[in-house]
Amino acid sequence: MKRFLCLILAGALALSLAACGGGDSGSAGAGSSGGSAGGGAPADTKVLYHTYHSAPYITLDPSTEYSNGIMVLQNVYETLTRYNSETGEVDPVLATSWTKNDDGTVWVFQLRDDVTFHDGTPMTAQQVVSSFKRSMDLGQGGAYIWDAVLESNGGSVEATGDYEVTITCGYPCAIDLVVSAGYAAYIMSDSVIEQTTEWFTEGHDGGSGPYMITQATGDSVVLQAYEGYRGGWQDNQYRNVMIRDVPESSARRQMMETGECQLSSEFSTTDLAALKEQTDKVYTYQADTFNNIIMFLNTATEPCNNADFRRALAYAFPYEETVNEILNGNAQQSVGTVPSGLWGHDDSVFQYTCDLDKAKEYLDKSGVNTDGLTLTVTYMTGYDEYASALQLYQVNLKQLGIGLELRSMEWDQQWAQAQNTAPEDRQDMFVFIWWPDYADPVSWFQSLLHSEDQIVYNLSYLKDPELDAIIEDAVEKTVTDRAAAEADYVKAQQMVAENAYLLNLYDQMHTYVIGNSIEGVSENPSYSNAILYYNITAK
Amino acid sequence: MNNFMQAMRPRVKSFQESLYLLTRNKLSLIALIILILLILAAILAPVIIPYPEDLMDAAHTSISLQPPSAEHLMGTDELGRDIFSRVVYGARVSLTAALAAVGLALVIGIPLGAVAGSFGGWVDNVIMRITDVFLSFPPLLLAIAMVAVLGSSLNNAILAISLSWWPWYTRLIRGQAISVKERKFVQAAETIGTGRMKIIFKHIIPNCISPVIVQASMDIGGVILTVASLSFLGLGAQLPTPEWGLMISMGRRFFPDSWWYCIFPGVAIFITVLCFNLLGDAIREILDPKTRKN
Amino acid sequence: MFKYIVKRILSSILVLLGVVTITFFIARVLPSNPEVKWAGQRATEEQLAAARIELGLDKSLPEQYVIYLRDLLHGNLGKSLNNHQPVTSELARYIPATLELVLLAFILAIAIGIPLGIYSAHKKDKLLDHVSRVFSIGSVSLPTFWVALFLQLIFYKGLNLLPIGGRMSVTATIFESVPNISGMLLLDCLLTGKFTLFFDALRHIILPCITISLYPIGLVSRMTRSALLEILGEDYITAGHSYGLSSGKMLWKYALKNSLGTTATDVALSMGYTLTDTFLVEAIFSWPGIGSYISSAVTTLDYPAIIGVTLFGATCYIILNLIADIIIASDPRVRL
Repeated sequence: MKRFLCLILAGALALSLAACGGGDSGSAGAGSSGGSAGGGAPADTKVLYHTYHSAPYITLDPSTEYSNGIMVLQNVYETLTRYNSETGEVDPVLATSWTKNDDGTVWVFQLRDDVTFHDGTPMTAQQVVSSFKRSMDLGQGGAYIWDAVLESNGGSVEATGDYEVTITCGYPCAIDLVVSAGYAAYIMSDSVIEQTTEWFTEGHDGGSGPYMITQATGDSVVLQAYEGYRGGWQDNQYRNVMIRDVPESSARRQMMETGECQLSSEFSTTDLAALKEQTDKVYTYQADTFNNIIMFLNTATEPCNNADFRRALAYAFPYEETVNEILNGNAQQSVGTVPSGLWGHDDSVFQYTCDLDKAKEYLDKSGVNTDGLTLTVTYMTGYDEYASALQLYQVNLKQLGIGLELRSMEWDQQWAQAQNTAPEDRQDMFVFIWWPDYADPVSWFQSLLHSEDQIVYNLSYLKDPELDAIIEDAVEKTVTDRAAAEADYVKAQQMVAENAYLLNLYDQMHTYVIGNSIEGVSENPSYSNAILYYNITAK
Repeated sequence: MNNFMQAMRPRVKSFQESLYLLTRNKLSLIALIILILLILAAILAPVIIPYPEDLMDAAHTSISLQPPSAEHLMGTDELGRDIFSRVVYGARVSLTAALAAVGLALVIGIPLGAVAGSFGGWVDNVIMRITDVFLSFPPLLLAIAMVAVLGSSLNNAILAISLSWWPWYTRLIRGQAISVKERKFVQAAETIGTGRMKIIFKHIIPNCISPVIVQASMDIGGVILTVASLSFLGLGAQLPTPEWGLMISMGRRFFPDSWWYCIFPGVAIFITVLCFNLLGDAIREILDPKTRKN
Repeated sequence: MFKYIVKRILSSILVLLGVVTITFFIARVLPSNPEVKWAGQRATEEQLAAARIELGLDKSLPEQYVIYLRDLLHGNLGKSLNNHQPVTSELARYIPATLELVLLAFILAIAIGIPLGIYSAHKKDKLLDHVSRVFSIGSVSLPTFWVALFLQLIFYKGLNLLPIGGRMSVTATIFESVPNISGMLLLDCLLTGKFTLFFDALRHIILPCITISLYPIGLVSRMTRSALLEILGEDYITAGHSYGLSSGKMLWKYALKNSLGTTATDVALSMGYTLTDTFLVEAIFSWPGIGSYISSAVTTLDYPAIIGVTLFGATCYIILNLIADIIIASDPRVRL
């Protein structure tokens, strides 16, 4: 009898264990609601399947999301304007036209009158104002782009007509670019303005874009056509889109090969090479990005405080080998800090090449004693291409008699080390990726190169008054005289290169592998990672 | 607590006895020979490998990702380095790391176990409850959490492994200590007024250490596997160290087309761990009186 | 007997408290700044201060510990620093997928491991015993993450037979309403009679399941073998022999019955090991379970998530241990 009771007890424990596992599963990984849910069930059963190499969003809050979520939000929400990387101009989207005063502090936008949100309500100026205010009030993610418009800085946003918004800035600011941003500038319906980030992340939205979010499970998002979209829908467009996180390159490759998925990117070198050969199934599309791989040098302490030593380091980096051998042409060597495709870029800016003789020359000139000298470089764990490139760099530096210690770290840890109050305890070099939040070179110069009181992203620890002055001048002229601003940025880039304040290693490219059944995939580098599914059609 | 875990562990006697009995079983003899070869390879690695420069900082991108051939028995990696050389050298890295981890675990575990066993009472109780807590983490998970906190490096991985491994030795030695402390010579030492700690370190530990050493040598296989797992997760050795788990992790980018990059380091892990486990199993078989009876 | 069980449960709770304490200290000595991750990289000083308050980092350590314990009692594991989602609900979402994998691996382990162990014991020291010995020891010596890659090489590159990632095909996910009762896809499909979905899910689970089941198969067969040999060595079996009972009959009728308790404990316990293995394998097969969850938590240092999974693993382990000990205790031959 006792034994029997014991067994029952054991069984009960086992059950409770299973219950704590399976019990509370409100929305399992597989998802709970089918596609047929929601208003007008589409007769169209074509699905556009986009596999992505990491989670497709962190939050789905249009005001605060500051990460991969851009790939969802760009299809669900719209902005007043959009930066065109081919022409370098700002194109109208929800705005039809805009004007600014002479010093660029007052901007007046005229809005479209035929826009409706997914809840059916028409868009008016008031909703634009409250959308912007929501971003400013929450103040998270990319909200800092509104700095000039903050009330505390003397700015304001007002509806000055049913379809007219006036934005006043506390200081001159290129608002036409700010409102084109892929973060913190989306327009949403009044009905969702009071909702929390959590509410959005559960899979709700209030946008005016061509798609609505019908399912969001953390690792996947399902989008469905908004039938009332002002552009209308053609039969060869995709009304159903699924974006899903499939971290493994090999698994994504298999899905491309079987035709299960039509769109993917970020393949491993060998998977990409293998896919490229299967022209009967897929084709590739290579998009420029504004993603810039940078190596910061610790100029606050020995030995990287020596300009000639830094130049020696710059001449020793295997730029070409990295681009060709490690990345298989999936990148291009940077010229200057501003990537090509963005205004302020200039092909004539000086850039280093891998030249060990010159490196030796500068090393001798620097007078730095290399006896037992070992530099440390930190890079993000899991970024194997950095690891391979750095190992090549290690080989080159060894020929100069300099040791290089590789340390893979989590982002927070390496960033914390870079902000250490004692400069000697910081890493000598820091591999870093940067991209702008909207199409303006200021993103690099203000954040990475302008002197800071408290270290945030100026991780070469620069305090160069001359450079600061050029940057400040460029920022001011961006609004009033863009050509002059451009000239300033070119000058600043030249200074950075000559002093080797940081090394611009390469600009990433995104290579998309696309199923032969679809066409119309394109990526605008100002909205990195976002593909507009509305433009994709079945062949 | 953990009766089962204890039951799984063999009751071992002395090192000499084990070694003698071991050589009588053919399979374990083969395992022993392979292991000796491996250890020799680890010691002589810098001398015997064909491309010693490929271990640390060398690169020949013109011959990257070559399949196995006569020049490169296991092919080359993405930087054109000889994988065979790196795999052989990897034996040295893995064995040293495993020895260090087990050694550290012994350093923590033995004194604690000896103190617990010879003091008894609340000291014993406290120490043993702490070991229970450490033993209730699934293996590896505690190490993952700790390395994530400490920062990834081979040394931190070794530290984390030993921190999750020591309780086994504490338990083992405690049991031994309880019986040793009843023996005449210990009681004699007590009556002449020798200090308690002195008794523990001079009499108790030396007299119960050999089964612990045997156990530790059997654990090496498992520890090698754990080191490789942590490195595979990016929580262990740093590049360009030729560590097996790390090599597999780096090779995944070129898998499955350049399969040799991932496969050979895995084979090396497998053979090494298998040999250790075969030996361990043989020892368990021989020393466990119940299964021997048949 | 009952006293023993109560004592065991109490000591398990004590151990659990110890586990919680250790994880608390691991979480709080993290060198990086959780508030930075919480508030976003470009957060202002005020936002950081607000984040510290929100995360409770402004209080003293003992206070934080008390709050931590209180939250745990309410099933609150804190929020992920990455996506601000409650870790508890994230775990609830990922656990069924892992559980499905582990349970299926277990069915395999029992179906293969136990017969292998019996056979091995029956033919002790014969060739087949040696083969099975090498197989079972081999299976516990394999790095699972490597096995996963190896299987992908064979079944994808070589044969192109099975899918190597995910739980089911995408068209199925969108157009079939996927049943969600237990969160375990195979079971749910069977319960609702969706056989197309079932076979789709089955094809996806095969490779990860084989990978994960290797370790318990080896372990279970080894343990079954030694449990049987132990019993076969005991006096009443020897006595049986002298009465002229055949060894086959002895094995089936007496030894097996008596070794069942031990085998059951082995199975329960090796489940704990298997749980660990999923951490290394799930990410490789893009399996959306807690293994994938902790892998991404580790690379982003999302400590509430890491601690959540660690606690879950330890709790399972403690409960399984408890079950194992109770089974042993309910064996009439064990005197307590």
